[in-house]
Amino acid sequence: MDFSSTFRRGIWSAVLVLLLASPLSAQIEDHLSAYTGENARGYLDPLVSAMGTSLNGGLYRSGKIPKAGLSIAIEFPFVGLYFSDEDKKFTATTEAGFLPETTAQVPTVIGPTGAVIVDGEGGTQFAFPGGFDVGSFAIMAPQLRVGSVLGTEAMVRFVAFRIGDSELGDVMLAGFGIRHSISQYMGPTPVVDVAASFYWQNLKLGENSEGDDLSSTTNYSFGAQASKKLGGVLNPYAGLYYNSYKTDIKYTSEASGTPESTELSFDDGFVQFTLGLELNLWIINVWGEYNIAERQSFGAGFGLAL
Amino acid sequence: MKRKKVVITAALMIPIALALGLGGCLLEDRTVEVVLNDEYCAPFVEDHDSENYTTPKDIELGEDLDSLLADNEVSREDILNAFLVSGSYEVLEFSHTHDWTISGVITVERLDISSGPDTLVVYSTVSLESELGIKTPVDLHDDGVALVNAAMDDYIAGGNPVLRLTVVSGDVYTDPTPSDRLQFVWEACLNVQVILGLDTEIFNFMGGS
Repeated sequence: MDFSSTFRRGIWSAVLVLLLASPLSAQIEDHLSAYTGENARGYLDPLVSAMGTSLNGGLYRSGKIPKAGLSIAIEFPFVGLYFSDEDKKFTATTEAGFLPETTAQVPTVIGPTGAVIVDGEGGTQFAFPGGFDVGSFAIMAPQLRVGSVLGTEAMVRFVAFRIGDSELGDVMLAGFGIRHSISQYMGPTPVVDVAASFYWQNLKLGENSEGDDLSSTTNYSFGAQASKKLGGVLNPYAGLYYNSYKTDIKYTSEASGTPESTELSFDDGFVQFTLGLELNLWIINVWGEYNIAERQSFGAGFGLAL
Repeated sequence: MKRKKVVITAALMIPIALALGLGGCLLEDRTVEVVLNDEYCAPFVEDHDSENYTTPKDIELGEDLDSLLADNEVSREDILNAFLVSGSYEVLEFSHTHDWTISGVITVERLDISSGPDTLVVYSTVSLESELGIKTPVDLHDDGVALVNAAMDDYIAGGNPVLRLTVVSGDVYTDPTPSDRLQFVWEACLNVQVILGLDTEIFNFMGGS
């Protein structure tokens, strides 16, 4: 592997966002083109759900927010999850006028790579496309935290890039959130530091054959968190949040043999409970967390507090 | 102050170093099987004063498959399998003072080599008026399907197959006459699938499969 190739791949990860973006942005439309409607929904569901879940990690740690004064932190959170065996297959139905109409257990987008072929009348056959054989999913995006005014701080996540003619295409993650100290109203020495917050994020991936975004996910998250600093270094924290996301997919289906613009929309809402531990080492913060929700995920990262 | 700058610089290098390492090490090769769909239609223009007629129409299967591959920026070498999925017919144009009911067969043969004709479709009691504008799936017959699939196999092997679909009339009600000609346009369509094996690299950051 030459240096430029290594470097380019490194840049992918450095700025990067979505470690599964490669297949998503380009080849996924080829796979999807064999499907319409419910088949496409079943095919994509594990990946869309993983995106909706992963965006909610790494958003907060310490519940302590000063009432006033300048504080800046740049952070590099990483959130990942593993797919289960149930995520790898779904029940699909033949299309394109295939007779007799037949259902089969076939790969989802993260399932086995092999196509599944079923037999029909007169020696005809119908093939369901394979997946990408992916066991895990992760998001990594830099974020900037600035505070504070009246016990309130703001956080911004943003990364956008285009990888030329590679399979990655366009990727953009934009996010904004505010956190407000609740513990400032709990007396001079609250037992724990408590904060409430709201976050909005939008993740766009890839470009379809019509030049539009292949996938666009908008995510909202709100809830409260608490933390308690121990010994000046350890900072255990917990949070209870409600998260909702909506993902729109636009692609060209050729399931019937002729191109047809197809739109799918996924939405879901779920409660997430987070347990985490942060180490404050001078200006460097390192943390790990576990998120309990419909899909369990875990996060880690580090930041510089200036 | 100098120590703080060193720490900040070192810390900021961590994600870049990680990225360089991860970018190279965590890419995994996959051969994924993609399915392409395509439809090839043969329009038949019928204009007859007798119930006995045949109407041929050719499908340049090899050229059509070439176009499908070119549109998807893949080559013949990427094909793992290709086959016939389904067939349908649709009455495209029909304007008359009364309905017609037709039956018959559609045969398929190869023009690039000597093969067929074999029966692909048997249609019975098709009302032209009520079928106008409706795409109707049809049962396909083994012999015709086998011929088409053999043509697809020959294409994968480097051939350039050409198919001829021929409408062979059966019963027509009412009987056409020179003063009451049977005039309509319909088409027969074949849906095919091509399975491709495409090599790609994916990030599988935390492993698992």
